[in-house]
Amino acid sequence: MRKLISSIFIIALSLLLPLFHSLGAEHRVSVPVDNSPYQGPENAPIRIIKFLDYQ
Amino acid sequence: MGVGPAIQKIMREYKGKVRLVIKHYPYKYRDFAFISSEAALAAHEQGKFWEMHELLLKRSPRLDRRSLEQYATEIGLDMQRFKEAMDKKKFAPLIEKDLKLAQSLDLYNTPTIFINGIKIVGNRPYDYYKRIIDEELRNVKQ
Amino acid sequence: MSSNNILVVTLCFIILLTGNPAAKTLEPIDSLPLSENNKGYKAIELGKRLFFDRRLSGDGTMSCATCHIPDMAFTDGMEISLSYPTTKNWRNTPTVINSVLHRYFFWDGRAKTLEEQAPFPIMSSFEMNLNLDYLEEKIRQVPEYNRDFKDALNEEVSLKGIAKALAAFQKSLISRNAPLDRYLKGDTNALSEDAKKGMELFVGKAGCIKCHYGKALMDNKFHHLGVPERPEHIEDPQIAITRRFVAKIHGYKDYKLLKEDLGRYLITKDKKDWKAFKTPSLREVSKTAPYMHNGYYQSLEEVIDFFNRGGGEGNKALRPLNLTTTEKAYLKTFLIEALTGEELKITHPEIP
Repeated sequence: MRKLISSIFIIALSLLLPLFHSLGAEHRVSVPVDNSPYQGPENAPIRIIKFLDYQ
Repeated sequence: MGVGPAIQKIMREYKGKVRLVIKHYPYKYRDFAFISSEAALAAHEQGKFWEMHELLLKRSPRLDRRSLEQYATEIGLDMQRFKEAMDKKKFAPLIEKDLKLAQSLDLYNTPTIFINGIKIVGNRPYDYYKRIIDEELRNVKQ
Repeated sequence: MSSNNILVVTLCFIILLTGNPAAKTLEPIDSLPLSENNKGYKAIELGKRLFFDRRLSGDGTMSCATCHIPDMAFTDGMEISLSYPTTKNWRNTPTVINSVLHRYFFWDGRAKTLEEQAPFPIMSSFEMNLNLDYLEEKIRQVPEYNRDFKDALNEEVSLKGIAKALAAFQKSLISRNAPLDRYLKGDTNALSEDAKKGMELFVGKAGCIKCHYGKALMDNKFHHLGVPERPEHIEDPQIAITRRFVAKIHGYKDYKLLKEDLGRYLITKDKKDWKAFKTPSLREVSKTAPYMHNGYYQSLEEVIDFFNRGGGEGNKALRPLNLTTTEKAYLKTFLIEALTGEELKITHPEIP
C-alpha cells in the first residue's frame, strides 16, 4: 500500500514539475562562498555573490 | 568591468539585509584584469579590501602595476608587504580558484551576480535588482 | 467522442486538408526546413563559440549571449535590451529560439536571413559597437578560429563566414516537443482542460490565430497595434540619441524631431508600415517577458488585457474582444502551458 501511495506521489510530482517550470519557477544555483571577501551580516536574508572584472 | 553604482545603492538602501560576496573573474584578454584582482586581495590581506575595491572600480581602466601601487599608497597599505604579495603572485591561486568556479558555473560574462542563487547576467539598473530583492524579502517573511 | 477528441480531430483534419500556413491553423514543430549551412555539426559548434565570444564587442564586455541569455530563453528579461556601456537601446530583446522559422529579423524586419541579421547588432553603436572589418581581423588573429573555419566551413576567416556560423548555431535552437505539438499529433492528454479551453478561444473568439498561426505561431508580417511608449523613454536623453541615430541612418528626413519609434516605416517608408512592428512568435512566450517591441507589458495578463480592449490608440488592426475574466485566464493557461517546449540545454563553450 505504501509503495502504491509513493508511486502515485512520484507520478503526480513528475506530471506537475514541468508545469512549475513553465510557470517560471527559477533555477537557483548554490555558489560556495569559501574565504572570499564579503560585507554585510552573515545571517542577512539576501546573499549577493558577484563575479567581477575590474578592468 | 565591475558591478557599478546599482549594487552600491542596493548595499546602502538595504543595509543590514544584504551580504555581498566578491568573486574574481578577470577576463583573460584584458591586460590588467588579473593583477587588479591580485591587488584587491593583497589589500584584503591587510584588512582593506573594500577600500581598494572601490578605488579599482572608480579608476578603471587605469590599472597598470604602477597605478595599483599608487592606489595602495592612497589607502595606506604597508607597501613592502603589498609589493611582495604582487611580485610573488601570492593571491594568484585564489583567483584561479574563482576562475575555475566561474567555469564550473558556466559563466561567460562579467559582471554576473547571484541573488540568493538566482543568476543575473550583465549590468542591470537598480530597479531590476530591487524587484528581485523585494520578492526575496517577501518570501522570507512568509 | 468527447469534445476534446472532436477538437483535436478537427484541428488535425484542417491541417491535413490544407497543409498551408495561409489557412491559419496551428501546426506542430516536427520536421523543419534546415538550410544547407546547418548540416554541419562543426558549423553549429563554431557559431556557438562566436555567440559566446566577447571579442565580438568593441570593448570586450559583451557577446551575443549578454542579451540572448540561454537561461532566459535567449532574452535578457529587460523592457529595453541591455546596451553598450554609456549608451541605451530602444527596443526589447527577442528570443532567438525558433529563428529558423522566421522570414524577417528584428522588430522592423530589416534583415531577411539570419546570415544577413548577424552583423547588425555587432556593428550597432548602442549594442556591441565593433567595426566589422576590425572584427574580421580580431578573429583571424586566433589560430583556433582559423582552424575551425577551415574545418567547419571549408573557408578562410571572413565576415561572411562569421555570419554563416552564427546563423548555423541559431538555427539549431529549436523549441521541441511542447504540449501543443504533442496535442496536435494526437495526444489528447497533452493539454489540461483549461488549456484546451484557452486554445478554443485562441483559434476562435479571441482571434489570436489571425496573426499567430503555423509552426511558429506568427504571420511574418508587421502591424501597428498602438502599443504605448513609456514617457520616461521618450524623455530619456540616451534613448533619444539612439532613436534619432536609427532614423537618420535609414534616411528619415525629420529624424531630429522624432519622439517615437516608427518601426517598419523607417525601413520601407511605406504608409502602411507606420509604427508597425513584427508579429513575434508565441512559442516559449511564458519565458520571454517583458512583452511587445518596447517591453511595455511585464506580464501575459497585461498583454491579454491590451488585446481584449482592442489594442492601443490609433490602431486599426484590432477590435475589443469582450473576453470574460475566466476566458482571459484560460487563454493565459494555454499560452503558458501549451507553448513551452523542452528546455534547451546550452553550456558555455570554451572560447579560444
